[in-house]
Amino acid sequence: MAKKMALGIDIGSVTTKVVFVDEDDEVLEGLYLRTKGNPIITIKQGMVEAYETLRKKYGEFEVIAVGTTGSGRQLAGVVVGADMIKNEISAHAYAAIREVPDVSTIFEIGGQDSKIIFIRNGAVVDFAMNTVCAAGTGSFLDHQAERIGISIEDFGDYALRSENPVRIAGRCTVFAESDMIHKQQMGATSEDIIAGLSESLVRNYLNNLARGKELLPTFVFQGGVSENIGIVRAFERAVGHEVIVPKNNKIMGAWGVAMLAKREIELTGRSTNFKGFKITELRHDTRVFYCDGCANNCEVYEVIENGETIAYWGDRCGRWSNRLTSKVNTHRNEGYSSVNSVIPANHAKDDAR
Amino acid sequence: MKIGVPRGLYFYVYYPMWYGFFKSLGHDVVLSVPTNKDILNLGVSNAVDDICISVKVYHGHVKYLLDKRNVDYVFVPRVVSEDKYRYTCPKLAAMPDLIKSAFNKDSERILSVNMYMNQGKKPLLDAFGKIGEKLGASVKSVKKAVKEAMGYQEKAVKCLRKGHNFAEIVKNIRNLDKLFDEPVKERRYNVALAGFPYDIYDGYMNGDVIKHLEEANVRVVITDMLNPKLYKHYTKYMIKDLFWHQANVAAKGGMYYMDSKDIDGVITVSSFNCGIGAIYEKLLDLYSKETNKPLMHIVVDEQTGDAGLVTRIEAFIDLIRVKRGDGLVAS
Ligand code: SF4
Ligand code: SF4
Repeated sequence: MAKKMALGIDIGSVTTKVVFVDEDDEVLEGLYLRTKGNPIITIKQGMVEAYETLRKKYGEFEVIAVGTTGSGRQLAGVVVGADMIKNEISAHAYAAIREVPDVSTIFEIGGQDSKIIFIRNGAVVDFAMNTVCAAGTGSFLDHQAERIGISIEDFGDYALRSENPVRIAGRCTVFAESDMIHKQQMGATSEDIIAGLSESLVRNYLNNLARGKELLPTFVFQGGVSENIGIVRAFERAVGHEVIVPKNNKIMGAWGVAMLAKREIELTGRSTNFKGFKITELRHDTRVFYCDGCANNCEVYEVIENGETIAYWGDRCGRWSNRLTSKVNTHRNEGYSSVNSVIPANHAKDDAR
Repeated sequence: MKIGVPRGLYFYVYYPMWYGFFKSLGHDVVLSVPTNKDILNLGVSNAVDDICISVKVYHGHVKYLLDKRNVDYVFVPRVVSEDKYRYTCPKLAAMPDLIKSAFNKDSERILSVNMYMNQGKKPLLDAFGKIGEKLGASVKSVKKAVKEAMGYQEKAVKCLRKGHNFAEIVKNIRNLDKLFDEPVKERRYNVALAGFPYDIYDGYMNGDVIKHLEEANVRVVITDMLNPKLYKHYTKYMIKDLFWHQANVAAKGGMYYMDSKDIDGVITVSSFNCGIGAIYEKLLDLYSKETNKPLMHIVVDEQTGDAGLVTRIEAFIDLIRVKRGDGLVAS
C-alpha cells in the first residue's frame, strides 16, 4: 500500500520550508530553502526535490493532507491546494508543544521576523511578533557577518571561543554597525565582537518582544537563527536557564501546519484539496494591480494558473474575490511577474495519487 | 444649507446629536465618505507632521468636504470636556485651530464652537445657540433643535447599551427606534475592543479588525457600549481617574470586560503617536495579569492592513478557540 503522508509548507519572505510527515507525525523529509524573490518557483522546486527523495526511499506514496503557513500562506494554499491555511504563530506553537510538551516560552527567530509565544498547560496564552525592526532578527546577523567577512555558519563557533564579549550598542542595526566598527578599531577580536553581537541580538529581541512579560521555563528556541549555537548560549545567559533547541528546529512552522492539516482531514473526514505533484508543471503567474473601482484603490493580488485566474485577495469589498471570472479592465502593467514552470516535463505522470 | 460633518474623531460619539440639530433647523447633513486611501493621503499631506494618525485622518475628511463646493459649512466642534473635570486630549481641544491653520483659505467655511458635554442642557443651549445664530435660526427654533438633538443622542446611547455598535447607529440614523428593536446577533465567541471610538470604528485605519473578528464567528463588543456606572469602581486600580475622558472609558471599560465571564478576550486599538494610548494599554496589561484574560494591542499607523496584523488577529482567535476547548482544526 502506498505510504500516506501530509505536506506542510511555510513561506516566509526570506526562506521557504517544505515538510512531509508520516502517519505518526514524524518528519520524513524537510527542506529549508531560500525564497529568492519568487515564492511559487521555490515551492515547486522544494516539492520536486522532496518528491524525488521520497520516491527513492518509499516508492509509491500518497499525500492525504496539505497545510500552509507563513506570510505567503494564502498564495501557497491556492497554488498547491491546501486543506488548512494557518497563521504562523499557531503553527509554530503546535509543533513546539508536540516536541516539548511542557514548554512555557517559545523564542522564534527567522530571517526577517521574530516572535515570542507564551504557553501555559499546552495552550498559547500570549504572543508578540516583530515584523518591522531588523535588529532582533536573522538579517541583523547576516548583515554583520558580511561586514566582518565571516560566513554566518561559522558565527556560532566564533562566539563560543570568545572570552570577553564586547558590549555592542545594538538598539538598531545602524547603531550596532557603527559601534561594531568602533570596537574593531579599538582592537577587539572577531570572536569577542561576534559574541557581543549575539548578546546584542538577544537583548534586542527580549526588549522588543518580552517587555514586562514573565519568562518561565521550559524554554524552546526555534527558527533559522536557532542553528547558531552562539545565540543559544546568549539566550541561556539572558534567561539564566537551559534553552532547548528542538529537533526540526528550522522547519517547525511547516511541520506544525502539516500535522494540523492532517488533524483537519481526520476530523472532517473530507478528502484532501491537494492538486497533486502535477502543479509543479503548471504555469503560474501572479500579478498585483490597483483596482480603480472606488477611492480605496485596493492593491489586489491575482494568481493565474495556466492562464486561468484561481484566486484574488486584497480587495476590501470582495469585488474581485467574489467573482473570479470577471472581465473588468485593470492596469495590467502593474507589478506583473511571470512564473514559468521550472519542472522537467516527466514529473507529470509521476503524480503520486 | 449643506453642513458637512467629517467622519472622524468625535463624529463617532456625538454624530446623532449633531445630525438631529442640523436636521431640525432644516439643513442637510453631508458626511465625508468612510476613510479610504485618498482621505488618508489628504490628511497626511495637510496635517502637521508629528501628530497621531487619527488627527491626520480627520484632516483628510475635512479637506474632502471643503473640496465639495456645494457644502456651505464644515462642522469642526471643539469638544472641551465630556463631564465635569473630564477633558479631552489637547489635540482634540485644539482641533478648530489646527484645521483653520491647515486650511487657511477656507477658514470662513469652518463652523466651530466650544462644547461641554454631559453637563446638562445649559452648555448645549449656549453652544448650539451660537451655531444657530450663525446659520440665521431663531432662538425658538434653536431650542427646539437642541431638544431634538438630545433625543437623537439618547436613542443612540440606548442602542449602544443594548449592544448595537456605533457603525450601525450611523447607518440607521433615521431609524434608531427600529435599530433598537432589532436583536443583537449572538456568535460563538465574544471579544471586547477597548479604545477610542474613532480608532475602533475606522476600519480602513485599523485593518478592519471588526470585520476580521466577525468573519471568525466572533461577536464584537466595544467599550462605548458600556454604561459608565458599570466600571466606575475600577478607578481604584489606577490610583485616580485619568484627565482625558475617553482614556477612562478605554481603561476602565477594558477592565470591566476583563472581569466579564462571557468575554473571551480583549483587544485594544490605539493610534501610533498617541501618548494616552500607551497609558491605558499599560493599565490593561497590569490588570490582565490578575484576570488571565487574553489581551492584545493593535497600534494603528499609516501602513494599514499589513499581513502581520491579520496574522495576529488570526492567532488571537486561535488562542481563544483553544481556551474554549474548540481546538485549532475543523472550524
Ligand atoms: S476592490 Fe472594492 S473596495 Fe477595493 S478599490 Fe476596488 S471597488 Fe473599491
Ligand atoms: S487621544 Fe491620542 S489618538 Fe486621540 S487625538 Fe489625542 S493623541 Fe490623537
